[in-house]
Amino acid sequence: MILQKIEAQKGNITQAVKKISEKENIPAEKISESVARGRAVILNHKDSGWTGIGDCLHIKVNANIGTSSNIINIEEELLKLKKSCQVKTDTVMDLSTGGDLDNIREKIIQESPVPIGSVPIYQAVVETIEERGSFKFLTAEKIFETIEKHAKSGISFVTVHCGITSEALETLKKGTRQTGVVSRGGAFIFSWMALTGKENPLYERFDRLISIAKKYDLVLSLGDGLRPGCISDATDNLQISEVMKLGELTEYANQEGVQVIIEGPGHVPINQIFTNVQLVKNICASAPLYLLGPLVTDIAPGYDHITSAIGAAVAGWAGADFICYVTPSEHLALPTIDDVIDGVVSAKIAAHAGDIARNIPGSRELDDQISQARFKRDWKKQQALSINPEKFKKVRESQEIFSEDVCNMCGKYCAMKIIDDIMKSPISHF
Amino acid sequence: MSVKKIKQYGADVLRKKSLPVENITGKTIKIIENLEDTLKESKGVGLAAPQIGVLQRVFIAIDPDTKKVIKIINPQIIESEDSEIDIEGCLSFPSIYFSIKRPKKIVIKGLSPKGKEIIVPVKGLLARCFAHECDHLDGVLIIDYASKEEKKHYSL
Ligand code: SF4
Ligand SMILES: [Zn+2]
Repeated sequence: MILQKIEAQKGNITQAVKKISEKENIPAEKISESVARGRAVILNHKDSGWTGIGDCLHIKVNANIGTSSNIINIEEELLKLKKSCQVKTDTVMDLSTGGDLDNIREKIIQESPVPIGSVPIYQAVVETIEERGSFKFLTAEKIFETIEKHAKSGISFVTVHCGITSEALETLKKGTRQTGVVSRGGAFIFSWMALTGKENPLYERFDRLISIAKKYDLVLSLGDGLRPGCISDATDNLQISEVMKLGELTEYANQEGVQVIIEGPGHVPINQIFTNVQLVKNICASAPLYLLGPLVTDIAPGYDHITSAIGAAVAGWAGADFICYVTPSEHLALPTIDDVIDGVVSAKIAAHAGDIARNIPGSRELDDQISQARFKRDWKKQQALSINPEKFKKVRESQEIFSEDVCNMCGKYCAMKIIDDIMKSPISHF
Repeated sequence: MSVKKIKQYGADVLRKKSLPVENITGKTIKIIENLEDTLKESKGVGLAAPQIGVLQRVFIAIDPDTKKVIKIINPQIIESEDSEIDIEGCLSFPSIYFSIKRPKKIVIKGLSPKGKEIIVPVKGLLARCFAHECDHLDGVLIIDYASKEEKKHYSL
């Protein structure tokens, strides 16, 4: 097993870096340097599908799928995988908590063309509750075993909530927050710590995580168990103290040649997004930043793919590298297939907006191409270039098409056509 | 062979009736060459002799598709078909445009600069152009087609 970061530090351009360089049209040396410095990571999917995430690369998007304890339908989850890849998600995370978790995960990895991530603590907790009735019987051993099992089965990156400590638990108990802990993994670990009086093994034995990561070149996504779950809790002492811990761990991982990603908030008012991104980047050695949104307001359940895309666009501009989608079902239900599509597309839009703002090569060009086609009212080309061609077609064809030269929005008063015509053939003089 | 100043609205010559060309002479050819130079310089589609101050029944036009220059002496519209309204400009009226109803297709009879009788069927833009130029030869101008509102708009 070659370790991407170690190879990059040695100055070797790996096959993975070459592939990413070709795919993204960014010089391999630049990518390799970022990987060496821990500013970019390479996710390995079945030794052939590599995805790069980091400062010099296009902003990537993740779609979460997986069963819940209430709804278990593997076929449906596999369809979500397929659909989210069709609308070009860059990675998928299996967050299953219901059914045969090993089987589901293996099937997803097998069928996926993109790297798969997971949150192994879910399985460790679910199985402990099933076997022993309460997750207070969860052991450190079980957590690390599950993480290794995931890595071995082909998981490319794992969320590990390493920054949670007993010190944070004490602060949390003071009850300064409106919504406490909203990270599922974070909630498990905090409760386990409260029930057992023990320190978080993922923090205490981070070295064990490091050795598992080294064995499989597993990318560690350092989870934000204390991410703010509402606007009021954004950028508070709990969130920032967790980031400080993650900063220490990042430094350690960098020394060990292990690739890490930092996970970030959550819910953040728009005016605090730049501060959040810069803070995390500065404290965590500019490691790739993976954001859940952030959602810029709490008032829009049913539309949180929008509240999060707004935040993600600003965050991308500010320097976030990886965006986890949020679907219209967020805070309400397990997402449907359509929700998954809307979620991925919304996040892709935000990511692309960020790419434009950051001048990532090849991004603006896409806008120029579609705009030219739009001005010429070239519907075929517009459809092909649009972020979701299927949706384009569906909407355009939802009404009778009276003319190929305009759409029904303005009909014969199509501004584009009027101007195009006048520019093509100005009024003739005789 | 020179670029002439195009007579502008208000010039008496634009209101006069042009005379038929009795004999095609070197003078006639020179008028046509001057028309050609002036039209090419102006970026217009057609130009009639009175527009350069010559009261002779001669006009030229540039086919927008082939870029060929069509030259007609003593033109006569012998057929016209259908009609359509379009915005039209005249090189003698800078920055003034009127909506004018013209035939969609016309057939014109006249003489080539070599004195050969020619019959030219045209449609669309060229039909509009030919009709416009024939008007010039009779002292008719686009303002004669303008509505009260259009004239008021341009304070004419
Ligand atoms: S009709 Fe209106 S909306 Fe449609 S293409 Fe033309 S200008 Fe755009
Ligand atoms: Zn004229």
